[in-house]
Amino acid sequence: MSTPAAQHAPGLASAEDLAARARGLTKAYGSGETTVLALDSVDVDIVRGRFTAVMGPSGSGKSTLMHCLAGLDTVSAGQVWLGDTEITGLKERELTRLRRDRIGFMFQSFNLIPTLNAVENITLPMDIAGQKPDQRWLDQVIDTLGLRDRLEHRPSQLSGGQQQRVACARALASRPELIFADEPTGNLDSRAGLEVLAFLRQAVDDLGQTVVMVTHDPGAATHSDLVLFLADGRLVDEMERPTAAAVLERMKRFDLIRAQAGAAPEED
Amino acid sequence: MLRATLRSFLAHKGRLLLSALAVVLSVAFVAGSLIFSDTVARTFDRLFASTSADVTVEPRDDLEASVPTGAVQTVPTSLTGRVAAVDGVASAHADVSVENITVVDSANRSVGPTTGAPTIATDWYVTDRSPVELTSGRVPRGAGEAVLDADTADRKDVRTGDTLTVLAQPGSFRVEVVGIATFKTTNPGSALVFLDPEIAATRLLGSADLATSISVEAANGVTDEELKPRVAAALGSGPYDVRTADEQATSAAEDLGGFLDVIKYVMLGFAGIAVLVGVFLIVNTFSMLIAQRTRELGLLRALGADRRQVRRSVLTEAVLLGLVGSTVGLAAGIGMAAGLIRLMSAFGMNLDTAEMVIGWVTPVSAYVVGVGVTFVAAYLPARRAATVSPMAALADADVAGVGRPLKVRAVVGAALGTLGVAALVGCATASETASAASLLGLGVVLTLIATVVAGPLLVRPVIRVLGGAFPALFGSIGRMSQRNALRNPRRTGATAAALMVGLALVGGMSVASASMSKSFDQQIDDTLGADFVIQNTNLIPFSREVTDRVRDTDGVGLVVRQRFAPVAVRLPDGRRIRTTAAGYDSQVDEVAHVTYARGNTAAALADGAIAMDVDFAEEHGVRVGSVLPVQFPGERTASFRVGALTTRTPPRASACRAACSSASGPSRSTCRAGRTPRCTSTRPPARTRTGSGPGWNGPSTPTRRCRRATRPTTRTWCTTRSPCCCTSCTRCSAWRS
Repeated sequence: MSTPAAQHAPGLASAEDLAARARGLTKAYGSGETTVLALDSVDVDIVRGRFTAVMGPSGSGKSTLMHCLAGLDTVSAGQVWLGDTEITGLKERELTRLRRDRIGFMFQSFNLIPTLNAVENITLPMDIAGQKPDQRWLDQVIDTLGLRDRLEHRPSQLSGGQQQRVACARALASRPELIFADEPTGNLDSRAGLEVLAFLRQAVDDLGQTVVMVTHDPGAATHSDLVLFLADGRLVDEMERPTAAAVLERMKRFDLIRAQAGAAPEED
Repeated sequence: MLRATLRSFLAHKGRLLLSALAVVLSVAFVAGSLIFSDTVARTFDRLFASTSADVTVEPRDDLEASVPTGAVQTVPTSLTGRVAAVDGVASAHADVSVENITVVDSANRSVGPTTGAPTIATDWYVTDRSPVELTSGRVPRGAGEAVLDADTADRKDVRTGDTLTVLAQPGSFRVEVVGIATFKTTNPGSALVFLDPEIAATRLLGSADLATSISVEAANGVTDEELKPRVAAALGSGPYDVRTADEQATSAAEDLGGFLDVIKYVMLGFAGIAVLVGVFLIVNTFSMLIAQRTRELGLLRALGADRRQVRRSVLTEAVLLGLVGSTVGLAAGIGMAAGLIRLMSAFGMNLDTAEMVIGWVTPVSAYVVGVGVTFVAAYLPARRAATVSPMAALADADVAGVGRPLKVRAVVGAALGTLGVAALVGCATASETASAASLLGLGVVLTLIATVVAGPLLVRPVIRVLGGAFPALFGSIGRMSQRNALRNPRRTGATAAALMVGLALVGGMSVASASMSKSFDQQIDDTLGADFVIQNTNLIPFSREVTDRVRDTDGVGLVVRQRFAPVAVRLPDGRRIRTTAAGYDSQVDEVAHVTYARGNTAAALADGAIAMDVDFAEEHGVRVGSVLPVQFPGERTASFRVGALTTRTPPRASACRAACSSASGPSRSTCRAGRTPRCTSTRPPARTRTGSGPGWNGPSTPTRRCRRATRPTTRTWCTTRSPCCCTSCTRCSAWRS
C-alpha cells in the first residue's frame, strides 16, 4: 500500500499542535463470522488550525471515522484523543460534556430544531450547557455568515443554504476546538454549497478554527488544506493543497482497485 | 434548553390536546366533588350551628338503626321541669319532632320530598334559633291546623286553606294549612309541617307526656360547656345524651355525611376512570411524540445534552401539560360544582352558588392529581427519550420505534396473561365469595395489563384478520392503511390500548349492572311468593292503619307483616354484633321461600325464638337451642333461644352479595326503589316480639301463591360481614322475607 505522494504514513502529522489524533482505531460491526470492519486500525492526526477533508468511496468508513473522532460512536479497539484528553474510555456523561464544550457539528441534513428560530438554534449548544454566549464572537460569526437579517426566522422559512449557514454558525458559536462537518454540501445546490465551503474556509483562515469535513465531492475537498483518503476502513493516502483534478484522479484509482478486487477477490 | 422544551410543547399542542382533555376531566371531577362537598358541608355546619339549642337532651342513641324502623325514641316531658330547675338554665322546652310521617294532599298525593330528604312534623316553637319564620297566614292553633314550609308549598302547590292528611304513627289526622313558613337558612330539602305545641305530642307520639328532645337555653353568662355537666347531673344516670350546640351541630352534620359521600365517591369514581384512560393517552401521545422527534433528540444529544437533560426536557413538557390541564380542570371543576349546586336546588336543597367553598385542599389536590398523573404517565416515554443515541441525529431516515424486538413484551405479557387467567379460573371455582371477588379483580386487572403489554404482538394477527378485506375493498389505499397499521406494531398497540381500556371499563360496567339487575330479578322470582309487596316510597314503615286497610280490601287473601328493629346480639364467642332483626307473621312460608338447615318456620317464629343464617351461626358458635342476650334501643334487653338456622345456596347468595356489596356506601342508584328487595344483610333473621317500637307494622304483603313459585325455588339469605349492602339499599332494606 504505497502511495507516491506520501513519504510518511498517511494522516500522521509531524507537528506537535494536534487537535485530535487516533491510534489503532478499529470499529467493527456485528460479531462472529458476519463481522464487518468499518475501520481497521487507523492512525490519524488532525492538526490544529487546518481544514482537513476526509474522502473515500461509499462504505470506506469515512463517516465512521468522524463519529469515532467526535465521540459520537464507541470504538472497538484503539485510542482517540481530543487535544490531550483521551476520549476512548470516557464515561457517557463526560463524553457528552466534551462534545458540548469542545466539539462543533454540521450535518448533511442541517439538523436544526424546527421550533427554534435561527439565533436560538445558533446558541442552542450554550443553552444546553447553561452558558451565556460570548456576544462579540457571536456577532462576528453571524456577520461572517451573513445571517444578521435572518436571525428571527424559523428553519422552515430559510433556504437550504441559509439553513446550513445557521448550522455552521451553531458549530462555530461555542468556539469549539474542533468542528466536524458531515457532508455539509450534500443537500445543497452547487452555489449554496460553494458558499458554505467558503465560510468553512473563512472559519479556518480568519477565525482560527479547526475543521474536519467528510465528503465524497472532489470539488468540496479542494477547499481544504489536506485530504485524507480512506478505503475499506484504512487510511490509504493523503494530499496537501488538493486540486479538483488531482482528487478526482485519485478517486478514480479507487474505483479501478475496487474493480480489480471485484474481478479477483482471492487476492485480497 | 428550557426554551427548546417550551417551543416544542407549543409546537405539539395539537397532539397534546387529547391528553390535556383527559387531565382536565380527571381534575374537574376531583375539584368539583371537593368543592361541592365542602360547600354543602359548610352550609349545613352553619345551619346546624345556628339552629342548635345551647344544650340539647335526647334519648340515648345506643343502637343505630341501619334500616328505617319507624321507632321514635322519646323522653318523658317531666324531664323538662327537672332541667329547667338547673342553675344557669334560662328556659327548657320539650320538642316534638318526628320523621316517621307521610303527608298527603286532598288528592292523596304525597307532599314530601322525593329526594330521600325527610318529611318532618314538629311543634311550632319559635325562637331566634328557628330556621324558619312565618311569612304568611298565622300560627297553628288547635288540633286541625298546621303551618307548611314555603318551599314544599311552592313545589306541591299547596296554599293556605288547603287540607292535608298527616299519616302519623298513632293514626292519621287532617289539618288545614293556616300559614306558610319560610326558611331563613339553607333548606336542606326536607318538608316541614308545624303543629300546635299543645297537640303535637299527642298527635305525633301518641301521648302528651312524651317529647323527642329537650332544648335548653343557657342563662346569660353561662357557657354551653359549663351548663352541659350540670344538666347531665340533674338527669342522673338516665339513658339520655346531653350535647352542647357545637356537639349537636357536629352530630347532625355527621348524619348528613353519608348522603354527601355518595356524590363525592361517584364523582371520584369518574375521576378515577378519567385518570386511568388519561394515563394511557398520555403514555401514548408522549411515546409517539418521542418516536417522531428521535432525530431532534439525537441532535440534542450530539450537541452535548446529557441523558438527564433530555429526560428532564420531556418531563418538563409533561409537567407543563399537567399544569395547563389542572388549571383548566380546576376551572371546569368550579363550574361542575356550581352545576351540582344548581341541580341540588332543583331537588329542593337550597344551596347558594355564591357561598361556594374552595378550601386550600381543592387546588392542591387538583394540581397534585393533574401534574402527578401526567408526570407519572410521561416517565416511561421520557426514559425512552433519554436512551436515544446521538447517532440518531445522523441517521438518514427515521428508524424509530420499529427496532427493538418484542421478546420482553411477549414474555411479560404471557406471564401476566397466565396469572390473570389462573386468577379468573380460581374465581370461577372459588366457594368463598370474598376470595372470589378479590380473584376476579386480580384476574381482570392482570388480563387487561397483559393485553396492553402484549398489544404490539397481537397487532399483526388482528390487523391481518380485521384488515384482511381492506385491499379488496379499498384498493391500494386499503393496502396502504393495512400495511401502515402493521408497520409499527408498538404504535398501533399503544393507540389500541387507550381505546381498549376505555371500552373495557364501559363494557365491564354495563355487563356488571345488567347482571346485577338480572340476578336481583332472578332472586325475586326465586324467593318471593307474594303477589304484592306494599312499602312506603320513602321506605319508612307505616302505621297499623295501613295494614288494616289492606286487609279489609276486597280480594286480599293472606297478609304477612314484616318489620325491623335494630338489635345488638351477644354471641357465644364473646362478640357483640350490631345488626337489624326482622319480625314476621307466622305464615311467612306462604309468601317467601325460606330453607332451613335446622328447624322450620314454626320453630323460628315460636315465642321467644330467633333464627339466623347457619354459616353465621357456625362461625360464632351458635347452635339450635343457644340462648342469646339481645339488646334493643332504649337499653331494653331480652333473651332469645335459637329456634332454627336458615341456609343459603351459594351461587345465588354470591350474586346477591356482589350486588349488595357494590351497593354498599349508600348507593341508592344501584338498587332502584320500586322493586322488591330480597337480600338480607349480615343480619341473622330474628323474630322479635319485644323491643319493637309501639304499634308499628312493616310493609305488608298480601298473598296468594305466586304463579312463579311453582318452579323449584331456593331461599337465599345474603350474609356479608360488612355493614351490608342492604343497610342503605332501598331494594333490600324494606322487604326481607
